[in-house]
Amino acid sequence: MELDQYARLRSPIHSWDARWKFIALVPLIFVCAAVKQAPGLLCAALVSLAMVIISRLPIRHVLKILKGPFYFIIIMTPVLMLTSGGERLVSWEMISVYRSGLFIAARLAIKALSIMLLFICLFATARLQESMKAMEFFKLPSILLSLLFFTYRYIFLYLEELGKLLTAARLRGYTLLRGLKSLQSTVSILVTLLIRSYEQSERVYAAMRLRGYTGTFPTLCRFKTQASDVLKTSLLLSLSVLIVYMEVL
Amino acid sequence: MHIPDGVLDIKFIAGGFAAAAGLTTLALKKVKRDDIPRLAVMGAFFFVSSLIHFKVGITSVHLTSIGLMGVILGIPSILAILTGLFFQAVMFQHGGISTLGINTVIFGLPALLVYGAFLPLAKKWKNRPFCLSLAGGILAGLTILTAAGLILLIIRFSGDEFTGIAFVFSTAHGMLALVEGVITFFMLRRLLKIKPEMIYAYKTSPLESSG
Repeated sequence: MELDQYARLRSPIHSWDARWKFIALVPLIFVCAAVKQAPGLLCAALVSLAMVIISRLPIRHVLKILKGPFYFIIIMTPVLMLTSGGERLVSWEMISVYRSGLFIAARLAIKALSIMLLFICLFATARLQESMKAMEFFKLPSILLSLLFFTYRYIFLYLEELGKLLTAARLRGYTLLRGLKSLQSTVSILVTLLIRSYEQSERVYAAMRLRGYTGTFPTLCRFKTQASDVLKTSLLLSLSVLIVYMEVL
Repeated sequence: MHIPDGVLDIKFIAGGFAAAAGLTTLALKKVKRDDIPRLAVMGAFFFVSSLIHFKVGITSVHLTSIGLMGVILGIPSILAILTGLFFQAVMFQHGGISTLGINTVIFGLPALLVYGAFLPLAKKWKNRPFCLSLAGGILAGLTILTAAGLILLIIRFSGDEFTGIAFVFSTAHGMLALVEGVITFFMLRRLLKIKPEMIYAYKTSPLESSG
């Protein structure tokens, strides 16, 4: 589940300076979110797919990430076909199935999957510290960065605690999360989880302060721009411009 | 409960980020460095509580904890919501990346409204935990309805094609509002008994004194 578990692989995307990667991929993500016409959508999909292939991220990992959006689209498609309006495919009394629903669902799928693939390329191909250092370079407030870092750590802490609490509850015979009847036991677990993690976080923070934490994260990561970084970023930015041009045409 | 990638028009995406940046700047002004652990804990709680699903009839709803965030954190809850949503999107693909800004506004505004309504009540009913928890529960239920209303409104103005689907999903949130309200009520009851300083924290900490 770690964001950067494949950050140590070797590929042209992994070796790309994180700052230049941000400059190239963030605009491209927004271009993917903006396109509506078929040629632009196709181009966006191809670029994002190529990026993932070049990054050499394990296919199983990528598919696992895409499972959520994929299920969402599967659920959305029939609802869109019933509610989108436009040209009717089939009509039965009050219910109509619309052709445009299918096109809208396809557009939604391509946009959502392209954005997600590009985002995987951005965050899964560099260590989190490296990505955060790049965000710091772009003047993201240090409090927000610290908050991101702490939240990431606490998520794992919470998941571990939740696992322990659920096991303990199960062994005592509770059936959790199976409807409103088990509300009280669920509330107990949530409150325990909240208080335990809250107290633990305060202890951890106090220990960090005692060891000299001042709000900045010293990392060994040093950025160094190389010609290949500029080249990769220029190529991706040109592709973004091309997709926008195809959209405007 | 979130607006996913690919649904909104770019104008709304840009507007969402601009509004979220405004709210984030406001929240950052209210925060001191020592508040970070508390905010991070709530951000992580927001993330983890969304994994807890309740089967209600044929459907299933998950908690959001927006009301609780507003009650415990006040204005800085925006920051915890932003980070929680970011990790939901990148770790579980729940929500969207391009819609992170607008989703922060959709969840953040109701959390601020809860804070605004809860703060005077917390002062007035300091010795009446039942009334305070009940008010918190009702407010938490209302946050879901407000967020669902905001989603419906934004999608309606962004384009016609998703209005039908947004309506279907928004109406399904009536049940979530009820579940969220009841759970927040029970949670506040417990928290006020076990660790009241968590609820009243923002009255004495830098979170409150600076705001």
